[in-house]
Amino acid sequence: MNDPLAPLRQRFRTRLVEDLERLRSLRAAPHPDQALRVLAHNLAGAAGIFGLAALSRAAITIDDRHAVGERSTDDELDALEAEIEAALGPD
Amino acid sequence: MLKILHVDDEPDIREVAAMSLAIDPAITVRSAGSGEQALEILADDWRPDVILLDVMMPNMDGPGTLERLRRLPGHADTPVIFMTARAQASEQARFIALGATAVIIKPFDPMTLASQVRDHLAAASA
Repeated sequence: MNDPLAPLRQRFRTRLVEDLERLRSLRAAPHPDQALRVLAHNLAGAAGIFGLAALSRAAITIDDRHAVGERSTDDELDALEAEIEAALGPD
Repeated sequence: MLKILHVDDEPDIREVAAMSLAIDPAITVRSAGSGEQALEILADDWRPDVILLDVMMPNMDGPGTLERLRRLPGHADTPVIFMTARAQASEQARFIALGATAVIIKPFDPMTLASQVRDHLAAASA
């Protein structure tokens, strides 16, 4: 059956490659909090819509953390990286 | 024809929502990438039957957009459905108290978004 969202899924996958690079670069930056929140927030909504529930949850955890003025932990950021990598697959 | 204005700063979500809502042939959709753009569309005299409004957007967020659009002529009672990833009941109650007709939790199901919107509108007018 034709998936009407297939072209958008493919584009989202390309975006994930960019988001993974950005996430890694932000983690090495001195004051990444706001940029990390924006990245996590945007990923949370879009990943869920494309059926990537675990990735969406990992991003929501970070978004929620920043929403109450806290910093995301290394474990949470590791989890987000891992979920992006898992979504991208072994390519 | 049900006219919907969908407001979200995420381009992917706007596109998926537009495609999802287009599953229902009796729906027409316009999209806005920010609260400011939504207000421009509304001020331009385009009258949607319902506005789907993302809660968290940079600059003007969903609640801020709702407050301003209520001041536009003819939009005091336009149904507004907030869309948010925050599923807590207390957050949803807060959005309803702000004047939202309903809340749709993100991520939404692309296959049922149109029917969810229709169900919320039917419940609100019952």
